[in-house]
Amino acid sequence: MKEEKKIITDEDYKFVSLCKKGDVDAFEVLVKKHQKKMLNIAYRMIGSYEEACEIVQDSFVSAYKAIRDFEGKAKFSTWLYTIVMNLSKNRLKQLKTQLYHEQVSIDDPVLTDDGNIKAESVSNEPSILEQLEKKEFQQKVQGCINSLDDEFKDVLILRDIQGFSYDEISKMLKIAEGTVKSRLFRSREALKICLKKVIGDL
Amino acid sequence: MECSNIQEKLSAYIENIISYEEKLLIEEHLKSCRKCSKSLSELRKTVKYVQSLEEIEPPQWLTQKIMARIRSEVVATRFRAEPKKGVFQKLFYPLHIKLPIEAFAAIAIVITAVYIFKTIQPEMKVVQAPTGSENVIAKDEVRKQSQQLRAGATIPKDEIASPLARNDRKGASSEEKVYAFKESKPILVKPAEPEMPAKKPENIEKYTEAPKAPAPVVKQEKIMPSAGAIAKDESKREAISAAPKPKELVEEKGSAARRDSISLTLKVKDLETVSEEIEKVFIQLGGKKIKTESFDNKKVIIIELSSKKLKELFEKLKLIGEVKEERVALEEQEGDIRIGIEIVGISDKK
Repeated sequence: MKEEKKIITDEDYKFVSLCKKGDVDAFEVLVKKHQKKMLNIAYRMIGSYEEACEIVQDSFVSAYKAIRDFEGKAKFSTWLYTIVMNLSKNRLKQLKTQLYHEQVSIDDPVLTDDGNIKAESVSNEPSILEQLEKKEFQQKVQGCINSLDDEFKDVLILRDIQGFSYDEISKMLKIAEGTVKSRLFRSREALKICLKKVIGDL
Repeated sequence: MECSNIQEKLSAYIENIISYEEKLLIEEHLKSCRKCSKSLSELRKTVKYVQSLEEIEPPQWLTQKIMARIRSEVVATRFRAEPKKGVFQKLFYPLHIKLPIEAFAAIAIVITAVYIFKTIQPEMKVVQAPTGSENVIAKDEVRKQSQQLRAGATIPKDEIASPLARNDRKGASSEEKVYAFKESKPILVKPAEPEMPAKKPENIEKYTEAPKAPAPVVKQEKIMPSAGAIAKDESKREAISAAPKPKELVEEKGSAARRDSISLTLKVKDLETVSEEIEKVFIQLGGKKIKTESFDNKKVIIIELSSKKLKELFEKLKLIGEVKEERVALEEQEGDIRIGIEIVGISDKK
């Protein structure tokens, strides 16, 4: 009963069933609707805009190929984000084996889009946030996210950035809600320490 | 509660997803613990910073690129999944059976091979046959000539014919002479051996050499064909066939040479089947086939057979066709006898 209700409430359901009948235009609607969130998830996971774009394309193509297997047990969007999460993780593994770098210690300089950012010494100046450009600050946060282990990264992205519920996250990652909670705690703590190092006092 | 326990739960606390009791405990602790209070504020800031991350915008081309890839995927799968669509496929694959192209290729090769084989084989037959028939024709012509010119006796062919004619006259009418001549040629080839004690009788190839020994007649004959318009091949054959004849003559005259060859003429309707039958008969009687020569309308089989079985052979041959014995005087002899059987198709006789 619960699942049936979900199917009905899934606003993408109409388009999904059209896609199953081979309507490519219906799929375009879904692409336009979800591509932004897909891209953001991928970008936060990978930390590279170009890579994220590639992953989003691959995700939609795999989703279209597998859309007949989509049973509607979860929301279509949840299913879609699961795909993009998995592809992102695979890509990360690939990149790591390609460019093997030692596991990033929290004390180490942090990798960002712009390259290495030197760990800054703790500063007592209270107005440090204001001094930073917004973008620069965000890049530092992203750098800290990048430094997280994959399994801590995904819960943080899905919960704190994308705002999914614990239930949705546990479905997407196929882990128990308790695991989601504990992982989320660890990743927040790790991020906190990282941010302290990068931007000084919080 | 210890600080570490409290801090573990702060993450849940800020989201307000803990039980009321736990919440009270944490709040109680936070009032007294500065360290944990600091942790809480830091955690709140961290989450705030993360949540404050701005969303990035997808590039303009992303949707187009995704859809382009999906459309090409659709086309590809349609080709794979629905090959029956389209007139072309319906025409060429009406049975809906998927056969690899290799199978068709293999069948095509086999058919081509068989076809080529079949077209070539008859040609080979044709090539063989003419030599035989030409010979016969040539011989026929020679025979006619010799008959016509017998009186003159200037033509060497005449010589060939005349001994035969003499032979035939004893048992056959003058009309039959002609046939006897024809038939006797090959048969006579065999008898040559016994007369040449020095030469090994089994060696048929030596016939050509044998003629030299017998008599001047042979030489004469040998020369004559080559002088005539007959081809070389024919002349050879003539030489071979001509050679024995004199021997027979010699024999008739009562030479001391041991005679262990018999000439038979068998007139039949169907040359091929009869020759097969005769061969079966030999084998039944324990005979050995030595040589087979085929001409256009006749076939000569030379066999070796125990003399005791001779009568049996005659009986059986009589069942097959009309037997004409040319020489049967040697039944009292023992051991193997060489028998030449000439099979002549009746239908072609004139």
